[in-house]
Amino acid sequence: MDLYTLIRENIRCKKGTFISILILMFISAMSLTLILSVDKSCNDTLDELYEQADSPDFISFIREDRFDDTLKSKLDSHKIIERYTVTDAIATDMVMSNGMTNGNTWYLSALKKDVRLVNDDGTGYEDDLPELNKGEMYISFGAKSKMDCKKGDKLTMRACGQDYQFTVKGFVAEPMMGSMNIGWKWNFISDEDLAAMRKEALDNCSDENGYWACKIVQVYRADDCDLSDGRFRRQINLDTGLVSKSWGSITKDMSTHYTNIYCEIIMGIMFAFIMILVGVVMIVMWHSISSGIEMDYTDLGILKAQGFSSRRIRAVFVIQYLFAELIGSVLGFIAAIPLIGVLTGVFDNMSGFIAQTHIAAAKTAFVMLMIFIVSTLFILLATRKIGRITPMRAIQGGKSEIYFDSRLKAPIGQKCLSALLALRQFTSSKRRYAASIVIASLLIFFMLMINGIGDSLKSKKAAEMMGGYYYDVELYINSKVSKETCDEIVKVAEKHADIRARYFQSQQYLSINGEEIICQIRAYPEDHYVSEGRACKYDNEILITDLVADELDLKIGDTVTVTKNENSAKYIITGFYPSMADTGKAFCMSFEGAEKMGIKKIGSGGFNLNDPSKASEVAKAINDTFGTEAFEAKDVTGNYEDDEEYQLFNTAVIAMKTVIYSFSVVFALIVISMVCSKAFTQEKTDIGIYKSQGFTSKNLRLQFAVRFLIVAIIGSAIGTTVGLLFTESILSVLLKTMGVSSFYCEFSALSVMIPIGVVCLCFFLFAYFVSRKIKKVGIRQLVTE
Amino acid sequence: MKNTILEARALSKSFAHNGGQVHILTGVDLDIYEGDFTVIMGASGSGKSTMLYALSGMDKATAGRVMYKGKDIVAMNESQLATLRHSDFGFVFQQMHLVSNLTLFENIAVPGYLNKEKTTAEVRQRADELIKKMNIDSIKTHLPSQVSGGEQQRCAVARALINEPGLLFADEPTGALNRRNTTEVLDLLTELNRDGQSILMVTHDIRAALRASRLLYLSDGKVIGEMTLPPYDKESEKSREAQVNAWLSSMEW
Repeated sequence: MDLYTLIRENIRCKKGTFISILILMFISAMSLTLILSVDKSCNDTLDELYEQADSPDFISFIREDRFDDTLKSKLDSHKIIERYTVTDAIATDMVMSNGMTNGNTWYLSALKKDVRLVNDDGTGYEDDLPELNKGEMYISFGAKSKMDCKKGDKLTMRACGQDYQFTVKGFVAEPMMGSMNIGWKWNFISDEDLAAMRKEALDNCSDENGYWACKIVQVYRADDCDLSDGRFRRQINLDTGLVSKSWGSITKDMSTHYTNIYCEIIMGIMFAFIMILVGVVMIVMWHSISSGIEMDYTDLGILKAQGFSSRRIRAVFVIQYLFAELIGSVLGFIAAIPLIGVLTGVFDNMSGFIAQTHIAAAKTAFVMLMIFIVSTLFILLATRKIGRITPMRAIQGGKSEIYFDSRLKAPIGQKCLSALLALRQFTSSKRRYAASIVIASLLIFFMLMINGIGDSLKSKKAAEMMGGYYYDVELYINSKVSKETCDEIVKVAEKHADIRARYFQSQQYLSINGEEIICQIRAYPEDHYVSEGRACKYDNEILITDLVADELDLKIGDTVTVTKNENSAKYIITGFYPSMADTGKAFCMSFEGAEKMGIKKIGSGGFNLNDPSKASEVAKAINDTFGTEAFEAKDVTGNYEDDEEYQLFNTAVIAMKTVIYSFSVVFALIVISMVCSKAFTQEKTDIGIYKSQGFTSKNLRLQFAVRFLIVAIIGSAIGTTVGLLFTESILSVLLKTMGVSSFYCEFSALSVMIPIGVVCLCFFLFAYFVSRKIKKVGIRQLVTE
Repeated sequence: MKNTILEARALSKSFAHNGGQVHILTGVDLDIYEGDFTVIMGASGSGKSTMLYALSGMDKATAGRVMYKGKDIVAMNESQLATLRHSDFGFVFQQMHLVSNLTLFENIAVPGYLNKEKTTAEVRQRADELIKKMNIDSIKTHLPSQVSGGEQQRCAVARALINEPGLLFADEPTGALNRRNTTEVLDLLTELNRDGQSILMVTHDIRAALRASRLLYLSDGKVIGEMTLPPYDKESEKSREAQVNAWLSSMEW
């Protein structure tokens, strides 16, 4: 009963603190529930779709003629294969719709009955999957935004040199390759169209690189095989050659990774941010307890004199703060539930399926429990000093000893009197503001980090350093070109502009020591950025990414065996390079090196110019010289901003910025309100004294605000320094799954100044606002009756 | 004929208490004269401090007028009161109330900086003069917590004088001091008055009352008695004390 009374009275007397902690935990718990539930919704829905679509452990796309009886018999007899299915398909290498062109390979097959048809408003699935008529197709939902198309639109596909037009009948959730992040797509056409296209391909397109008529082989692992998907595929490849003979393959693990990668990265960053905010809650709590003990020093001494033990008093603190946290958490959890579906829907276009809402109740409860445990430890640590309070010392006013800890002897003069007094008040009680400084630093750091991501999205240099590139002139290649043609194109371009970089390349899956990895074949490897070592010079050299080096335990100077079909050769690793292809699992070789693998043509190309304004002139010169039948050069400067993928990234970054900035502002308000009201209580007498000497409330409020401005400036300096020093390495860790093993950040002045401005302004204004109570402080309280 | 420096008419002050009103001052009429060392005495709870705070504009009167240089303090807004406090009035509190994170010198100088008519150098020079006068020169860089109560109170007096106030208010300035420090502070106030400083002091300490040139007695929120005394002279302290004691007895003190 005594505890109950004390807790009830403490909460009543300090309801401001109680409500602040409750709000902070409400925000944290709501965000955590959302993050964990969105993640669960995406993952669980994908698993359900895999099951419904009877998705295999890996899928391979193989040329019709390579899927021969020998291969079939090897697959038939393999012990770790439970079964495999073979689907007739046709491959296309260009899709055009609404003026947009996509150069990724789309595989078309007859309709699979086990894929789900997305309903018209894109919120769920239809129960039925109507048959396709001639000229109609279902396309993967993940291609919808990429091709900017809707139901009823016409799509033109190019296969073996011919264009075929289809009407989009609907969008399906094909889970294995449905994600926007996977270039390949498995789409569906009528049996009649498929037969006609395959016949044309088999009869008229049998050049050495032709892959139009193909088989989609879905391989299922035997129940007793405990290999991972990757190891299973590798073993099958080593034993049967299926993967080496294929154009490409993808495992279920890779599919899961690529499909939910955006969700996981965005949620990962937000999770880290929320964990930091939880840290902020702890710091705020620590500060609140610590200053509360200072202020209630005498009362605590009296309680001790009445027979309350330190342990019992500390229990009061633990219970009252945990109670606030618990209420905030429960309310936050409840508030998050209706938002899960909304937030999950944001990722539908990226992941290529409509995620169903799943509440991560157990996981959220577990994380919250961990937070409560850490909170309890924090509170116990913060209340240690209660043990040192003796009744006598407390009643004699022991609190004065801990009021002002030090001071800075900055001279006080007539000019900027309020600011100088604010500085003195700040330096006199630095400890009181330490928590606020840490919080300001953390907020600045996160704002800076998210700005860094935004800046990197727009920076060409950052793209190059992280394995991407921007074209000023892009070649839309209809049929692949030889190295000689590339050289001729370059010569023409050089007559009209200074070329900064020549990006001509093809991508093909080759195997390194039996492991299938995407190979970027570059006509001018010396023009691409190399993070360590040097670019490939000779035909027996390759570059690998950090991820490949880690996964295959390779280093510069190692020799590896690269295989494609019947071709095999040894290559030396000359360096590491960044690439986001296949989320960083890639390697690179020169065109000469690729010839040893039987690859003789380049599939994409473009230039980066020193003066991008000459892009039109260069494009025109190339088109005038070579015509536009085999390829067409276009000025694409600035086009990246219209790119669907760029816009999606940009939207995600803007959304994250909005959340991080708004949460930061709310947290700043609550923190300042708590610190300010404590400082206000502690300084009430000083405020009265200043008023008695002729200071106005406005002067004094300004002093308060300036103090918090000082806090914000120091916090900004620390947060900015830490941000500039560590953003790259932290983002490299966070974005490693995306293939960015070395994040490059090029902060613009605005990106640095905006967080500082926001935090300083918020701290100043909020402190000015919260200190309005100063108006009510009368000098009468200085009267000793 | 003395000049009136402060004039209170029908001055009342009430407080809300337990849903009702407690009347502390009830229609006080009072004149304070220039150059006087006026001391207000009265029993505990008689409203001495309340009256001092109402007269000095530190607290708002409920009704009535307090005229200073032709202006009604009661009608002043916060900004006008703030200006009055740093330019015309000085105030010494019983508990000194120095700002704990400012040195003694800074405590004295800071109100001076508010006075825009003086430069920083002039304020500092004045602060140094006062510090010497108060005999706290050697400790001027100390924090209040590092000096004695008497030294703190001398500092508080210096602070009150930094802007050369027309009237110095003192609320039981010796109430928190020991005997030696009390004498020091009272000597200081007496000397200031001798130099022409008008002082209005509230006290219930007979020794402090002896320094007055004019004594007022407050009871139940009204001035019920007044006594004038010749300038203080240490030699005549005994006879002065008897005179004051007799007067106080007549006031039923």
